[in-house]
Amino acid sequence: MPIGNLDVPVIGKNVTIAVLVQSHILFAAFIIGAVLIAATSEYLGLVTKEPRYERFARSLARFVVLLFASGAALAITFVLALVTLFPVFFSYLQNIFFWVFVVEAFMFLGQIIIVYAWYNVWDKLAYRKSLHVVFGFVAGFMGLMAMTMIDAVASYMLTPAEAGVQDVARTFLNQTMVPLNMHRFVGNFSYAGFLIAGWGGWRYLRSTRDSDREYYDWMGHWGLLWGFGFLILQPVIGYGYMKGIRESSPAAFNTIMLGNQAWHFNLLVLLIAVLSMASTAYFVHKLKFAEKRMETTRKLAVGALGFTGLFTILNIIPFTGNIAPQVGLVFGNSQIPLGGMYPWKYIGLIGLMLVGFFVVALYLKATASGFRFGQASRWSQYALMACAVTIVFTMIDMGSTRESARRVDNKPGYLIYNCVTLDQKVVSKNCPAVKNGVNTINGEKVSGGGK
Amino acid sequence: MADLALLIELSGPAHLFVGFFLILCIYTGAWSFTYWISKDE
Repeated sequence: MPIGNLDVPVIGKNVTIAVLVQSHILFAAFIIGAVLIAATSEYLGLVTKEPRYERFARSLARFVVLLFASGAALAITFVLALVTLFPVFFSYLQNIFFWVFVVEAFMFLGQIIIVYAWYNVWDKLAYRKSLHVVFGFVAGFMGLMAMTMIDAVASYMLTPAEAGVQDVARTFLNQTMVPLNMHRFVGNFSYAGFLIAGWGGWRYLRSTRDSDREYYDWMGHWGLLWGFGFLILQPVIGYGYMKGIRESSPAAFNTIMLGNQAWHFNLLVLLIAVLSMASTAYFVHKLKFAEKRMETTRKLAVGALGFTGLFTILNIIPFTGNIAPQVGLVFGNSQIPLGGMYPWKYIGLIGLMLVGFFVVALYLKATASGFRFGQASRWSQYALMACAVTIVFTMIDMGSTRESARRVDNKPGYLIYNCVTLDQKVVSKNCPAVKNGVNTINGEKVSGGGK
Repeated sequence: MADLALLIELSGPAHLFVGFFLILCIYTGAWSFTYWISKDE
């Protein structure tokens, strides 16, 4: 029986899927990161006996419980949309990743149950805190496992292994699965951290009671430590990810690094520049409020801010003036000095990481002796809020980059790179479920792909 | 024919902006709703 080709009016089916998945990811990533940050904070509260960790962990757990509905609803809507709009492609994915989807579904279910239980037994297990903390970490772990499963699918779509559908190890551990998973694992903490920092900044500005101002000022500091601390790991992991794409899907790599989608990366470095500058400026400001006077440390941090600026400028300079021809952002095609990837972008990214580590180390040193919270300036809180907004744009930009990479020149665009086209046709003999040139799912002959 | 080619070329950026706008609407909507149901408890 033929399956009707349904479409969505005005926006089309590709945009529909993109909108649902991106919105879902923005919640899912926050939930995974926030659960692990909250569980760690609860544990730190247990160890240090500082009540703010406990207050923070409990409020965050409560918020995650409430936010879960939105994330889950978007996930279900997305799967429904995928089944309706891309039925052939979805059944194809199910054939390849049946067990992966089963594990994903049960991890998702387990995460919901444990997160709810974790929040609900907070008072009941008040005298068995170690056990209670384990609830939080188990929930976080299950979230990470669910993410790992869907990463296998997402990475496979861009860099499919040339292996049979039964070869689970090769389809699961395809070329970019591990780097993508690492990138997202670290990204969850960074994203959730920046959002927490932004929320802390917002609440700090609206609080009038001293105790609240002190708490929200601390929350901004705590969130930013997670946000920026994990952000500086991302360039090296991202490089590993890009290397994997270059090796297994070179045309996709060229599209997103040099081709008509390269503007995604120009935008990304701009967003990272905002995050790095705002975070470092916040750290410099905060060092003024260290319990122990640290003038030298602060001067070093000011120097680090200068170097951060220098390296971000190096990253921002585009390769040519042909930035985004799709919307007419073209300022000539000649190469711009200092715009090349080698060595300038490498210097910029490595420099940014090293300066990042340096400034975080200085800040942690000051943190060890304590800060006077509740006295931060308004501008430092605006910096936190700017980070929160910027990280959302960064997430959207990065997701869009990965999914656009399979388009190459759109002749054709792919759902599974070099295997299944956007109009759901299987085009290569090397795809899973194709045996002796015949698609074992629908019996059609497949001629492309050689061998 | 030329109009169709132009339309396809323009639909890419237009779709991108529409998609981006919709994501922001859903995102801010869900956050606002969660904030609204969680406050004053």
